[in-house]
Amino acid sequence: MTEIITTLENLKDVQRLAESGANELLIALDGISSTAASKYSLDELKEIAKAVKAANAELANATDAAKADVAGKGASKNTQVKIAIRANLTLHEGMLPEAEKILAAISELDKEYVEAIAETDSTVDSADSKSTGIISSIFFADPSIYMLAKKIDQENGIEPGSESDQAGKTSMTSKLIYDPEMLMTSINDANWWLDRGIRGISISPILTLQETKEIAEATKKAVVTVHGRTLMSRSFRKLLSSYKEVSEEDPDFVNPPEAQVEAASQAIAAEETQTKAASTSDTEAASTPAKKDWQAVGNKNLTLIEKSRSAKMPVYEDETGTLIYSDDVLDSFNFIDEVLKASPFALLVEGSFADIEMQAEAVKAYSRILAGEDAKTIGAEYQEKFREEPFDSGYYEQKTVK
Amino acid sequence: MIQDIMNKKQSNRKINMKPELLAPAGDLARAKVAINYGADAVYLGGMSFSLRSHASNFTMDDIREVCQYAREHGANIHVTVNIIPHNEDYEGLAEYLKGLEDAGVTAIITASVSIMALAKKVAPKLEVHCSTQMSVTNSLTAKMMVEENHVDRVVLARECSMEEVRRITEECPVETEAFIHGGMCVNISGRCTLSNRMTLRDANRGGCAQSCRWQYHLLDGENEISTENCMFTIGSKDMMAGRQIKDLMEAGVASLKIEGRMKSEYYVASVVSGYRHLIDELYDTDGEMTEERLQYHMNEINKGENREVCPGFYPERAGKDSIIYHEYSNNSVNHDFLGTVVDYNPDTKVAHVQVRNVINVGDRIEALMPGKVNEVFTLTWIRDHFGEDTDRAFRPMEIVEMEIPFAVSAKDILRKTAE
Repeated sequence: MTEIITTLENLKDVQRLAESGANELLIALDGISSTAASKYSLDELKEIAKAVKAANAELANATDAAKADVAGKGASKNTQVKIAIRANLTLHEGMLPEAEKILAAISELDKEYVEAIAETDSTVDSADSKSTGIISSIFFADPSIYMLAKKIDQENGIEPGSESDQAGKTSMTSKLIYDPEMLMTSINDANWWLDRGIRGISISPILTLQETKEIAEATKKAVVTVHGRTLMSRSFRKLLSSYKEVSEEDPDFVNPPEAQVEAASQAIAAEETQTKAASTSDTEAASTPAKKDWQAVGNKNLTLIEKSRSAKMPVYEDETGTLIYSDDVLDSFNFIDEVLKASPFALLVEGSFADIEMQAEAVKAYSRILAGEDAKTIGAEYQEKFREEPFDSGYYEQKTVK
Repeated sequence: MIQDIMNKKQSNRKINMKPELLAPAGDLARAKVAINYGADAVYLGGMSFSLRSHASNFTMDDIREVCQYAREHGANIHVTVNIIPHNEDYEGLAEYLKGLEDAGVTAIITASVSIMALAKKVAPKLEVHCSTQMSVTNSLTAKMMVEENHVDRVVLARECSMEEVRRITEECPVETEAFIHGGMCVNISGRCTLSNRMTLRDANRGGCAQSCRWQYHLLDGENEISTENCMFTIGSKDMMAGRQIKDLMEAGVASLKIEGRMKSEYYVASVVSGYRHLIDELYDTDGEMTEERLQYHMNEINKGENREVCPGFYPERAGKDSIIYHEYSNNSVNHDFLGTVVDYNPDTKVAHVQVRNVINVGDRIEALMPGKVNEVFTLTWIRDHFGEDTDRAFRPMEIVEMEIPFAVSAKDILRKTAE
């Protein structure tokens, strides 16, 4: 059965997302995650785990009809919500000890959950919970996470895929999903990683529908990003802080010497004409006076508009660097039937830069589609409800060129 | 290399190994220039499977020829197979890798784990170098590439600090390679689809439109933060790690890499020559180089550079000084490159020179000669291609005559001195 994974921005949204049909909540953690989504500490992760357990109890107690009423009939099958961890930071040497500590703590949390549920909780599907714990997936981009997971498994006396791994579900290695963002683009690379005993791979959301289907179908262990703002670039530099710093320090920055500007303007104009002519839309240059008092770090309100375009791209900086997200909101309603024919094991709904209403409704929409309702009808309803949003079908029908 | 390791164990030297100087080449001519000016190895792209699709990439015949040339000069050829492949890109790949092996290529540089595995299977004589696109910033990732894919070399991410370079090199089971010069992506290598999004040109398959160097309005909500005079830009300055070469050598990095397969012959010659002399002197003196000598070498290297530079992430996490904030502050045209020697008559001391920029009688001109110390002369006369005396040669590619008071050779480069 194809699952729905979605990000968690607020602890209070656990119940709402579970009721909407989310099977896994994707949690970003300080020290191993790089994302504009909310990042949590290990203590907060424990709170989230408690909230997830409570949500699961609610789901188990609710009647199918009640659940269907909230999230459509697809959600009636959802009796267990799990936690996925987004461990996608590119780890530098000095970050390894902290990352190892965090992964070990996740492993411990998982074990505690399995032990506790075996003793006390009879409301959930215990057979499944015992074997998989509460942490179902760990999305990673840096191969060092794979090495650390193997090390923790060794220390726990678990050999991934063996009897001790309980059908390949309790080891840290078997929870890993390789998600290098824009770099997972072929069946061969996907299979190389899957041969290492990991749970799955996340297909880059820069591929055509055909390419996406080919990889999902060939691997049967693919996550497909179907909805939300997708990441366009990741820098280790603090680009917003740097800009702020230099604009505050250097008087020439805001008022550059005229001669320099004039000398450069002709060359720049010629270059821009050549480079951008093929793909520009009408310019909408902002003309309000420059704002001086602004926050560079941790500000989810910042956007970029390319000089000759009008679309706004969210840009976000934290201690991990600077991230730029897509101007449009990916939706897959017109393509999801084809995607599902390829049997991906999960669909990812990204919640960054979306309010909970928009995110939960997206989860609910895909949940209903998974239950057999008509995708185009549901998609039309969703797009109508959020008609102010810049929806786009990403690269499904747009092939990039070399 | 084994001898170097033995020497390391037996000596108290701080620099125990002279690293490979690895230079870029966009075509045969530039590859030969790089080798002539002191590159130990040259990396280049074939017609397929390589980034930099706009570089004039090499046919298999070219690759065979450049391998032959490299062999004759004791150098190696590395070929980039560094696209992030889509399913369709594997067609013909196995044959291509075999062809590279047969041509005498030493190594491929790749970021795809499946291409690494395929190369080991179909072309086992090829070394496999794990590309910087893999973003290796820690020793565990390096170890995984070695343990799981048997790579022969790990190219470190440009985001590594010097301390990280040291620690990864120490821990890595195989040799490491580090960038020392040239263009830098502002984003983590490969982790960028700005070009895909804005132009449908796939940055990870050679089509990068360098959208990071464009200008952007920066807004906080509906309020603009940037100004019309200085919009938000994120283009990176180029790397110039002359001051860090000593530390890289002491760290035991096996290969020092110059970026720039799309750069000119002059750039390749100047930068390769500059680093060649710097590395040789650092090795000969075991790193005991005065600030004056270091400045001399860095000035020599910079003569080939026409963009603003920074030392990357080696001294510290790259900050505001690593970014190009004004478009006009970068990409100045380099007028130093005056011409290339076509031939020289030692009896008459007259050289034929192909003109590349305006040359005036009275100019102080420096000859850049492979394997030799640069020499300077004052130009006393010029004769154009009609045999007429002139004070000024200005037609690009024209062959003129001039007197040069010391011996030069064909392909030597003439440039204006800073005086």
